[in-house]
Amino acid sequence: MSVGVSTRARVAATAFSLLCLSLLLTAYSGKNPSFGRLGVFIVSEAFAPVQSLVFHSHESVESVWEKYVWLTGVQQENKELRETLERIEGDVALLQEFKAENDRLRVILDFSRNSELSGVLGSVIGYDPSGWVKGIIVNRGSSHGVAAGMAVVHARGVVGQVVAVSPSVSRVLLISDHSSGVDAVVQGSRARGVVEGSGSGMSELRYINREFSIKVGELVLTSGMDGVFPKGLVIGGVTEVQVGGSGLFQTVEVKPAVDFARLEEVLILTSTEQPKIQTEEKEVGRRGRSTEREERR
Amino acid sequence: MKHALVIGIIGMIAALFQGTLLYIGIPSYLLPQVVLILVIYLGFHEVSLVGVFTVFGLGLLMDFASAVLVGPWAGAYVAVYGALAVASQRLFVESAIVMVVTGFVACVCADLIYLGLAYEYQPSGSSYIIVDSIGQAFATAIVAPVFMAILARVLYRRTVPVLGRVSAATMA
Repeated sequence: MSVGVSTRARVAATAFSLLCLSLLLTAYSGKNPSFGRLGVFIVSEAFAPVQSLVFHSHESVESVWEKYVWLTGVQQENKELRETLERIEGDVALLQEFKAENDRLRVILDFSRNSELSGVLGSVIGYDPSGWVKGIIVNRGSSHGVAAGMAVVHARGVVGQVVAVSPSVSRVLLISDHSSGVDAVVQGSRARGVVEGSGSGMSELRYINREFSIKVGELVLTSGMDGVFPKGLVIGGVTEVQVGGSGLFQTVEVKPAVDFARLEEVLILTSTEQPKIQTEEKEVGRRGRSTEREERR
Repeated sequence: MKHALVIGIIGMIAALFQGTLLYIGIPSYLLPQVVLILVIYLGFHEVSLVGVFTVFGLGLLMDFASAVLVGPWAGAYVAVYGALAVASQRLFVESAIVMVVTGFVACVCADLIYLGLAYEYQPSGSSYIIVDSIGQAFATAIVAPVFMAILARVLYRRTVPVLGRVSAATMA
């Protein structure tokens, strides 16, 4: 492609102008989060059907690949018999998948019922494409009663917060993202702080006074003070405590209770009312662990 | 205009493809920046005002897909595109080695510009960003020649010689 010097100069000047414009856009959208959600509507609605198709067919394709394609070349004389068997195996795999999904949904529904949290059940249909923002896309949107700012939880614990909504899908910022913050309390020592994502999959509990003695393994729960997450939900467990230096605070590393890489269904809380049962945090903490044991079983 | 629309659709497919790679288990530090490869390709072969605005649109698409800030990816992409548009006349852009090196450098530069633009609003001192950036740059560099060959086929219906070897037909 032959391009003149003047065209290149014009293109470079335009690129520089657009770079300046993006700086202004970034500053404006940083101060006005609602501005950043303007285009989400179009992008989400355009992506949602394809994402839904791709993500739901992924496991079926994997199952077909493992249970059918690899076996087609084995023993010609048993071909028909094998095909029948494989078809049955495919059906069984599909049924097992349905059963597994049913079990997972039941765990979340039980959690919702026991904790008296009202919400909308949704499936994860995608991840943030950049990989930099730790976010997920859920197949529930404003037409299902979901709104920006709502808390998103799982039977194991806190997942994140809805940041943008379109009619059929919503985008959730995970608590592991570094721009996320949840007001939290350590169950044993009652120390209060803010859980912030470190971006690497772990979270940090910050602004904890040095006087508090926090032990590894203690549960970190939501305090309910941020007005987003109800009190007493499990955020994660303490994995490391750093009390070095001369600062006022200690830093506590928290491993989120929810495995975000394997997250498939979530509960979007439509009400921020404090459920009755959560006045006893220990009970909720125990429930979180017992749910985990049930899931493992 | 039709050409810009085709590039926009390819950009959406690329963004969707990146998200799918994450879903099937590829860690974020090994995620190739497919949309950025498209930007690099446009910087090499589509040096025009339509190209620069299309790249800006691709950046906005990525920003909207993240739903956090509007502008950082758009800024990073137009900066990379602008630099490549100026430099492309001095590069042998048909060479796979140039594609690999450009893919790596462009990815690191785009990430740095992104961080610079978003720093005020997404502060983080974690080292994972550097690991992610370098890993993604390697992944992008590795797949860049393949994706560029596909783009050459789709957008301009021409073949790309492998590893810098130029056929007589291409030379002519």
